[in-house]
Amino acid sequence: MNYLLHLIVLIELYVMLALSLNLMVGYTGLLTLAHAAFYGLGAYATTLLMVNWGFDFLFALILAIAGTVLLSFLISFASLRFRGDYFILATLAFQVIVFAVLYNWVDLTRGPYGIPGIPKPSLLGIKIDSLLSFSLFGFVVACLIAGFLALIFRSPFGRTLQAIRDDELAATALGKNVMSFKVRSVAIASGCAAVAGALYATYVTFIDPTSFTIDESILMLSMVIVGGTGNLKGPMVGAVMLIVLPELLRFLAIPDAVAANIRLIIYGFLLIIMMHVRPQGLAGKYQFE
Amino acid sequence: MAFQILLNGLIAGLLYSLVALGFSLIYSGAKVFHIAHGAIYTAAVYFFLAWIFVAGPASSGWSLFAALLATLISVCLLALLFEISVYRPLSVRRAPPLVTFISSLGLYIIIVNLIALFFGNETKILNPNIEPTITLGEVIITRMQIIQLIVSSLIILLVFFLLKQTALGRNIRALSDNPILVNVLGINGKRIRILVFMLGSLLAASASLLKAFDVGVDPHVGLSAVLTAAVAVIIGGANSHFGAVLGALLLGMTQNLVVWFLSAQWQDAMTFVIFILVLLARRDGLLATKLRLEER
Repeated sequence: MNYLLHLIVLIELYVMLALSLNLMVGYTGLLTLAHAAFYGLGAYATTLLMVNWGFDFLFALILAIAGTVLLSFLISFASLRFRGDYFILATLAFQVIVFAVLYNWVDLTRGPYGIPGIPKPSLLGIKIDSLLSFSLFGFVVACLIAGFLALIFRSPFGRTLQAIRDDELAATALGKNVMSFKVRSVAIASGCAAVAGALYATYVTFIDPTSFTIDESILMLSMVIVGGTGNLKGPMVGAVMLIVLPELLRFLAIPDAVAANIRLIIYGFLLIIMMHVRPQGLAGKYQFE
Repeated sequence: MAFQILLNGLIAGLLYSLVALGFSLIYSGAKVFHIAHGAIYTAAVYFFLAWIFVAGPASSGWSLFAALLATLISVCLLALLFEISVYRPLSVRRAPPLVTFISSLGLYIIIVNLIALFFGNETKILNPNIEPTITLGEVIITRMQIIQLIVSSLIILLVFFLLKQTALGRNIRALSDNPILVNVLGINGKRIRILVFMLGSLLAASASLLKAFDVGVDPHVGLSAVLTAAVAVIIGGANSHFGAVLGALLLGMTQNLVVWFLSAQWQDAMTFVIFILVLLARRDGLLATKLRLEER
């Protein structure tokens, strides 16, 4: 039962991440490899505020979101002027630099030793410390984020993003400030990733930089690509699939060390097959161009 | 000390140059952002380990040579497999660059994890002996570094000779200029593409072998190598092979400065800081020639 609840929490976290990543990849057409960096920034900001300075969870969460969004402006400034392969490489640059800072700024983040003893979240005096209550809490937050993003996707703002994705020149010609829309899209996506990071940190109560590597970014991207881009259900399908699939390997009695490699090999094949057969993903709407 | 850093930087830069030159050939020739270049880089060393195991541990000159030859052939075949099974179908139906990029990422993940599956994740040492060193004034250089310096310089010169002076090189340049017109003029574009992938992969393989004899290898060295190469190509100017070499030398030098002044942990971060700084200053890279908008 606990194992099942743990899986559910993981799925909730990755649904948030995949949905917010989809705002950038599927709706704005910005293929990014920096999502784990935002996730990590959210996790570390929440942790530091709670552990070092004794902030309340809710207050720490809000400050963490604000901080991550502010930093997202920096990455937008540095990377949005490039397109295509250059943009991917620029986001990758951000990912690598954030990881290096988390890993090497030992005075603040304790670097490779990680930060243990993160308190469980409490909301309005209610402490969320059991696995069951956390999975419910995660469910509520995931629903809130999904609802928020659904609203955005349907709003004029979301439609403008899709217009920019499909034809940037035409959107410019219609008087849309393309840069401003892209910057806001990145900011919203990074804020949602920060929420997932805060939940992750308080869920496992220990964080270290290795949870926020480029591999993690690739995993999130795979979820969006395999599940589908450009609508709400695609990334959810992808997140559930890529979390549950490797768990099935456990029942085949494959040793853990080998299972990790086999899982990644399956991901790799899925990426290639999807790109050849269904570039819009299993349940998606938008094809890359 | 300055000379020592300069020399180490030069040698590191030359090894990056080989990878970057290969990446640049494939990027400009086949229009593939070849992340799986890193998989080839890693696979080459493991091919060598496998072949040297087959050829027998008695590392006499001949078995070493045979293993090396078999490795290079294996690398070419792997590149051929990539092109035929993944890249060509995408190129035929004019898939957008992002689709090619993601497929390449998939290839990289598959190969690296296959290697980890069969050989394990730990670092493998190719050359257990302590290298004899030569001291020139205040500069210390190992025998392996001398080999790296000479072999990589020779290969780079050879590639530029090939590109500028031979019919094959002319065809490769034609392919990167206009892949459709190449076929119209009666050159077999498919074949040139395959040759480009093979040549690029051989360059990556030679770099990784030279490096592995010095510091060993683990399955994950490829990503950092290919990312450094990609950065070198782009800061050098994506349509200039010479720019790729220049960018690689620049990165090699700065990385060694960083190791000296900060720590090795900051190396990768510094590569990308340079990437952003150079592109903010010159959007098309250091040596880019002016292009029409639709050519970018």
